[in-house]
Amino acid sequence: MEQINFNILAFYGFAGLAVISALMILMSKNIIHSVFMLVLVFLSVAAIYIITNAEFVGVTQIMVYIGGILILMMFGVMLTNRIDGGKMLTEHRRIIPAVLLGLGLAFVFYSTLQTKFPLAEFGPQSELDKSVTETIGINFMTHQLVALELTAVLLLMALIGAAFLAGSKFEDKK
Amino acid sequence: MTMELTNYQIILLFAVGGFVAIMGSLVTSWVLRPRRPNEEKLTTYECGEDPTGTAWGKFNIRFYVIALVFVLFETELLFLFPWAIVFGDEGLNALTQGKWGMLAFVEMSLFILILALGLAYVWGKGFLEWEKPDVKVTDVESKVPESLYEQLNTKYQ
Repeated sequence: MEQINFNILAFYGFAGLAVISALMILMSKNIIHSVFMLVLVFLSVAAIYIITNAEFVGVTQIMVYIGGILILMMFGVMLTNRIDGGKMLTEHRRIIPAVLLGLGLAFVFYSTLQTKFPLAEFGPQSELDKSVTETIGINFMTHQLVALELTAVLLLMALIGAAFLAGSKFEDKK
Repeated sequence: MTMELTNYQIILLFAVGGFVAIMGSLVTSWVLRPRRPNEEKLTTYECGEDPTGTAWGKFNIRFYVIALVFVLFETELLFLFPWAIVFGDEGLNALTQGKWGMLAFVEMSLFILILALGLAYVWGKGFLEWEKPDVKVTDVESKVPESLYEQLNTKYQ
């Protein structure tokens, strides 16, 4: 009982943090501040994954999103040609499509929440003596072996494609 | 009643402890320090030079390609974690007469090899190479002969 209360408390804490920092992304005028607020959003989402017993996904979230994607976004900002000494401010444009999209998204969420949303169930604690990550590892080597190797090929394609696209930019410049 | 801490509660305690340690020292210094700012103190510190312009500079696009490659290899690394903790599993090895470890090793080697092809591609294409700035060596044809300098140097020794 005590355990569940702690989980719910932590869930609301982190969910609230995620929502507040997401709002801060929108409100902040300085684009760098927005990127830093995104760190908080990703961290809170990772924490939510961890409280719902999806520890591996949580660690993945921290490593890939905070360690990788965010650095890319930061580079994206820093690489922009518009940086010429002046401060870069965010602007509000295309308000009508944004409002329409927001309303549509709110409708999608609303209709999803009409059915009973299992918020309080934090997933079963594994009854085996293996942890979640161990189970994933064993599955990688047995049931999902082909999928694992196909993932390697997929990652290879992504790597070559990304390097080709990004690399062709500076090939031209030379 | 002893309170059993789960792993995540320990992580949370660590996080809280780390946060308090950092914020505590910042807040303590904020409380204790004297506040006498002047214009010199408020300028951005730049190794004793007067800073010009903003701190926002443009990055070399090479960083971006390397960051992209990094993200892909980090994703590969994530697949290695679950593998690494079951790779040498005693129970599974005993169950399969040692074939488990062999299978795990060969399969993961294949996985890494496939991605190593990507590294070879990136390397071969020269995306990892860094542009070195051209050092311009200027030859100055001085009309003053070398011996005059020599004289000057020895004069004040």
